[in-house]
Amino acid sequence: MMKMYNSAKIEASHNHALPAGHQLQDYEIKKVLSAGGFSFVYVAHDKNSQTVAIKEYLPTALALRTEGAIVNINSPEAAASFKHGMKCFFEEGRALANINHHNIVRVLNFFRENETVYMVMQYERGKSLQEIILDRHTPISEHSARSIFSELLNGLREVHTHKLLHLDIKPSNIYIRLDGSPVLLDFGSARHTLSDNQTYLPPSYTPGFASPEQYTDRKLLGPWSDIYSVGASIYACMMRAAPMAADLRVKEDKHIPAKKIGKGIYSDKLLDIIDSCMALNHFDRPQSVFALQKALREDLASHDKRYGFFNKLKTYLNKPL
Amino acid sequence: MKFSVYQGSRQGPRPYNQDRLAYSYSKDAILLVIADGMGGHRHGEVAAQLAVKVLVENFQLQSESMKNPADFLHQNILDIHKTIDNIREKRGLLESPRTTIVAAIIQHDYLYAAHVGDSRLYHFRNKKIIYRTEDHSVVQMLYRKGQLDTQSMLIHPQRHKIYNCVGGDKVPDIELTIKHKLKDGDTLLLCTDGLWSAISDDEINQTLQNNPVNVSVPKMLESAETAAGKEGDNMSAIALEWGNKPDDKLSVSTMTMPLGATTTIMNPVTYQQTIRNDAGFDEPDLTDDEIERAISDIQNAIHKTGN
Repeated sequence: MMKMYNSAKIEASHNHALPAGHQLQDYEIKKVLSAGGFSFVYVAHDKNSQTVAIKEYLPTALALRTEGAIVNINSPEAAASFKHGMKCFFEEGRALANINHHNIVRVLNFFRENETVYMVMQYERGKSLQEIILDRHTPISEHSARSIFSELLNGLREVHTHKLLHLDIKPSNIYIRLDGSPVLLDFGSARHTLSDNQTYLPPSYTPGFASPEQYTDRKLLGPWSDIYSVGASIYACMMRAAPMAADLRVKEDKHIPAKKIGKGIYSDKLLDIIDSCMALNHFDRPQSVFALQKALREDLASHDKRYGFFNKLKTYLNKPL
Repeated sequence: MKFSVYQGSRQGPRPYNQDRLAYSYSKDAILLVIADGMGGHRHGEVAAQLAVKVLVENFQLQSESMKNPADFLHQNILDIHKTIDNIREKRGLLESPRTTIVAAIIQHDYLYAAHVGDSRLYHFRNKKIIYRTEDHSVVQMLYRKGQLDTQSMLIHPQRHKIYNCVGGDKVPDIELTIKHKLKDGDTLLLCTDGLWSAISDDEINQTLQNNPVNVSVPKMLESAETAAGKEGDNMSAIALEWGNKPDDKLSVSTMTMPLGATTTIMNPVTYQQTIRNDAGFDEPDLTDDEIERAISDIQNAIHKTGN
């Protein structure tokens, strides 16, 4: 799971981030939150001193900022790619702007400055699921995994209702707030499924979490593609490592099913859920988020009988007077 | 295995970038590959793209169980040639797409390499070139026969002509490098003729010795682009520094990689372009108006759904 980050960090080191104290329209930059191959994310204060996160579109391979604030494009050839990437950034903005949901990162503003574009998002306090997984020496408990993902799926249902696919669900894009509620971040790969066949955007995917159809036939993309990634993310919670990449699995499937490797870590029912989500054939996966959520929740109740509301009620009613 | 690796490509003054490059590594092995799609021939970039793609994909599948890297390189380059030939036949192209290839695999401290054409591999140790592939070029052949000296090779009108390539009318003659042992501190460079013909081996050596790879590669490309001016070609390079350097933030260790995993980095600019070419159409540029419209659309949506 960590391997993706080496290269991003190397590339990011070329570009200079905006310095702390820099005034960006109504926002004052406080610090860099993260640096990726395509963007910087800053912590900033708005004019009411509220903390926000600001994502700056800055693909390191194409554009350079060595000093000051202005972004310079490397070459005329890069200029076309730079604008192309900007379209993806707009897609992300559009996707998020239309959704207002507790489990989906909220976009507050979107603007143009310094020859590039910026997206202002609600700042969330907490940790990414990836950090949580890597900080521990044991798997995430079944109860936590089930409750995190069944709640996260509320957000994903909302995404799918808007005819959007996330297409990059993975532990590092799932943020766990201080109150334990999950929020889905980074809609940089999000796509309109039905409406927008005209726009051609370059695919991006994270090995291990992307579904096989993301590598091959993108016409087959659907809610089941995000479901594959959800399954792979639960698998990662259990194994504390990313599963084998789907493009390799298609050629020669050396992936060890959860049922085989996870005995004793999670219940058979949850292991079956993981394996069905990670089926190579998309028809073999749960076909809607609702179906998956139901499976995660149904068993959540039976897995955790003592704490269920009805069981509490039953205990209460059965109490001798 | 510990190493630092960096790659870069410049289009130069040419209308297209027909160079393709990538590196890929697993717990046990590293692949470096550059292909230079041939300028005089249409679809050169198709051939170069195919070459890089096939090598990378098969490497991902076989890196763990690879018994003989030299055979792997030889067989794959032959397969690439056949595939290109099939494409030519299927599409009824008069001229076959063509490309050079230079590819290297490092496994258990040994370097294996293969090349066809005039894209080069250099191996540096203690600030000296200890190995360089021999170009399959007309001037190199004349030099071997004693008909040219090194000075006149540099200015010969046919210095960019090659007699051996992948995807041509005849089966390529794939030259394999005798396997070398790598030592800590060794540097490898793969590059296209756009780079080595614009700057001297001395300058390449100096730049690599005095900088980490993430600095030396852009520096060499910059220098080559400036030196070549309007006469320039596409130029590309991958540099790898072998071994463990203390406090080197760039260095990659494959120690912690899971079995069966590979990390592959295709050169990014090239990558995006290719996707567009594969899709078969070019997108119009985003105009200022369109940018403004997109932003105001997004802002409207934010207000509509706003808290």
